[in-house]
Amino acid sequence: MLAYLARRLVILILSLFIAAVVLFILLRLLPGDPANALLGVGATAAQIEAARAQIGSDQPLIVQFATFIGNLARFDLGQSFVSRASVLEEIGNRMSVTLPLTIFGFLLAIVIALPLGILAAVKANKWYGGVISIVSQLGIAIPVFWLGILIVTIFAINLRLFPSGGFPLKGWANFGEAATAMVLPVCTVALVIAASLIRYVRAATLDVIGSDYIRTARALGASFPEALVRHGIRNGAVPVVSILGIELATTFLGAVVVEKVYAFPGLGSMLLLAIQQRDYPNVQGVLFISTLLVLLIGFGADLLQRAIEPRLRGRRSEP
Amino acid sequence: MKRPGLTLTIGVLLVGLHIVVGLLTLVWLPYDPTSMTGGRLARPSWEHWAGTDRLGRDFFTQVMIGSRIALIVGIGAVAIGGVIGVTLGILAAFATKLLDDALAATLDILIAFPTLLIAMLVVAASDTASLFTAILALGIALSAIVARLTRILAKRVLLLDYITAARTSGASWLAIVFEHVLPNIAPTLAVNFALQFGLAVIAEASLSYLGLGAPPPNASWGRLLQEAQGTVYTAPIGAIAPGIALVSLAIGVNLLADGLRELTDPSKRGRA
Amino acid sequence: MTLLAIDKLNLAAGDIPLVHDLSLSLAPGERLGLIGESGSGKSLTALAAIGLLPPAIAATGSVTLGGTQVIGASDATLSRLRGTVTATVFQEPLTALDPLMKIGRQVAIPLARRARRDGTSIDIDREVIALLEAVALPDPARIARAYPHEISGGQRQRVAIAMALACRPQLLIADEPTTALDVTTQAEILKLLDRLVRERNMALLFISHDLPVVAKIVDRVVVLQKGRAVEAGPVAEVFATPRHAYTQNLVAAARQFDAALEATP
Repeated sequence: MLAYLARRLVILILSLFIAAVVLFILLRLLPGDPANALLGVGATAAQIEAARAQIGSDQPLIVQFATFIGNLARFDLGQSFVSRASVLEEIGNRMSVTLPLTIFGFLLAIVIALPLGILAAVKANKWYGGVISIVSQLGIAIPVFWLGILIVTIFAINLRLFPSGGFPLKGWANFGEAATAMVLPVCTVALVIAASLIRYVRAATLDVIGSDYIRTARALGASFPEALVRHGIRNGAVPVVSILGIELATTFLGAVVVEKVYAFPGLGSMLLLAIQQRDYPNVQGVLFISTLLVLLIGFGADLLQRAIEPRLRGRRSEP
Repeated sequence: MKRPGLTLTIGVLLVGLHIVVGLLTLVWLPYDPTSMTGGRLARPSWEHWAGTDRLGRDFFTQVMIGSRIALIVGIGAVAIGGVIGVTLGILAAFATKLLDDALAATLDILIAFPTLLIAMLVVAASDTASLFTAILALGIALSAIVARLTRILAKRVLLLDYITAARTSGASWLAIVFEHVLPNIAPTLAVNFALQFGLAVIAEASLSYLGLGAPPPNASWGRLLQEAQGTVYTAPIGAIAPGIALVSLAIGVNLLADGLRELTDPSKRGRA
Repeated sequence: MTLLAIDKLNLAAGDIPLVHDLSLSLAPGERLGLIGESGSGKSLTALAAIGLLPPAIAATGSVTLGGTQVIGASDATLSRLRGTVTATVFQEPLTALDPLMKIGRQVAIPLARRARRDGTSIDIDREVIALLEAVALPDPARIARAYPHEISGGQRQRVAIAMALACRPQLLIADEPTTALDVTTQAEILKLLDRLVRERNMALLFISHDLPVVAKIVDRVVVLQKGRAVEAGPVAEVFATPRHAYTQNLVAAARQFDAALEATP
């Protein structure tokens, strides 16, 4: 088990390294001198030199890269070109918006998808089982931002039940307002992810119901519900957990997109603004942290899967 | 559940509708997309079937153009992703164990990055947002998934007995790839491509919505939705029409993929 | 009292009939073989006997298990019959066991259930080991701690038999229990079943397509062809003098195979 952990950790760090390399290459492929873009037309030569020194674009590429990697390892993400604020600090602030949105959205999605997916499988031959299945098929074709626009229009603008966007300036210090502002975005994200999760839960449940070990259990005297609970839940969880990691990462990205619908001051808006303003440290920082999060989620999901599935633990098995 | 063939039919109809509209826009449009004669944010009427946008341009025209753009994006992204991915996958299937393992690990890492993230990365790296950048970005993101799938499928095919038979009768590896491997994996790949088409269209819509996509006259539905968001109370059609168009294409493509899957793997029927 | 009484059983999947007008019965201690090729409906008959038909298949007629009508009975009624009156061993040992649960625990479940239903208390751990020994598994303690994928197919089938025995059933139903195993293991499992059924005075419903296998272990046979019973009787009689053309073909084919085997040097 320890050997596997060590190996997985190495792969994680390697992936991060590759991501850093890709980031470095892409952001320096940008045409034009970043110093020029930063200062704009009419900058003096001295100013450009100073800017170049700050960005380090006057150093040979390999030195730039080494500095880059070194900084990343220390989580020194530099300062914003525009506001001179620490990138890491700004990301931390924005996380207080994006993280709850992601996590609650994900949890709500699971709460919606589990019962509906199981119901769709158990009652596959009844009309409501089919309806759930069709609705979830529809759901995965709906982009998250369109659902957001629709939800805002209905619940915020027409029914005036919730704010149509924005997050209180004081953040979570203003708990009531912050929580209310979170409701619609969380629901938006949750619905889209749930649509996808329902299909997996349904498929896993169908597999379990038709399985031989459930038949054995029942043939030896277990009632159907008893067999399902005792054997079905754990076996059904295995394929679902394997995609939970991906779905959580997708939720995170969905949250980033949804932030635009609700004008949320999260990572998403930070990234978009930084791209528009050519604020490289910010772009770099957000993309790097996002990648790190996505990779960590994948790592965690992997570990969870191995904990549940004894067949993955690498003990000798016989045919 | 659904009768086999019904899924495929509905899918083909929906996608076909968009293809027809897209092709139509090449030769005819209800209005010149740039003419701002309609009065701002007009309601749908006989003159303007979907009203006008806030600059007075006919909205229905823009939605129609959106079909063309979406198809271009989908086909382009899948084509780029497919060509890169299949080539890499086939090469990996033939590679020596060490190289293959390294490639497999790299692919797994790349696939761990969600499509949208990679696309945003590429778009962020390019100076101007354009349709081509978006298509390229999506194509690159999709190629990793295609490559992994191709590699697994190709390796499975290469293990089959008749490949050995073909080799012993003197066929070159190139011939084997084109005559045996590709035709064998084509059905599964086709289903995958259909699904990725849908993903690419939605991803591009997201990119456009965020402002990272192509500006008019190559405006996609995502861009239209972004512009419509501010005026959704006074002119709701602006937020509804492009969305319905987008969803109809996505559903059509998904049904098409499901229908194809039923055709190519009858054992999966009834598992929708 | 007849343990299992099937009377004019008809099974159909929608419009397609699968079993026609089948009647057979089994008294305590009797051994009956159900023979037929694939598609003859024999496995479905076994499932119908314990009320585990897939929902797509409709059953009409009468099936009584331990005196209780099975067709149309509720899951609660049926689950009380299963695991007390009857227990079943299925064909595929590789998928019959829960892959995520240790063997010992899987054997303990029907054991504990039977004890609960009888109102007796038992030392579960000891009984589990005793059962694993009864099915001639080597090193029962190690196997009890193992997961299904860590033991062979033959061993898994023995575990399945142990689990069935744990129910102390009056009727043991074995649906092609040896078909998925290699020839040597087949012979061992058959001998094991023969001995266990005799020692514990159980009735046996043995389903197979393989004549020589069935002949060794049962007293009477029913021959199924495409869902219909075409011949029935004591096994020695039916095989020595088959009256129906289909049975004659089966017997002849089996004889040719044996002859071919003997002829090879």
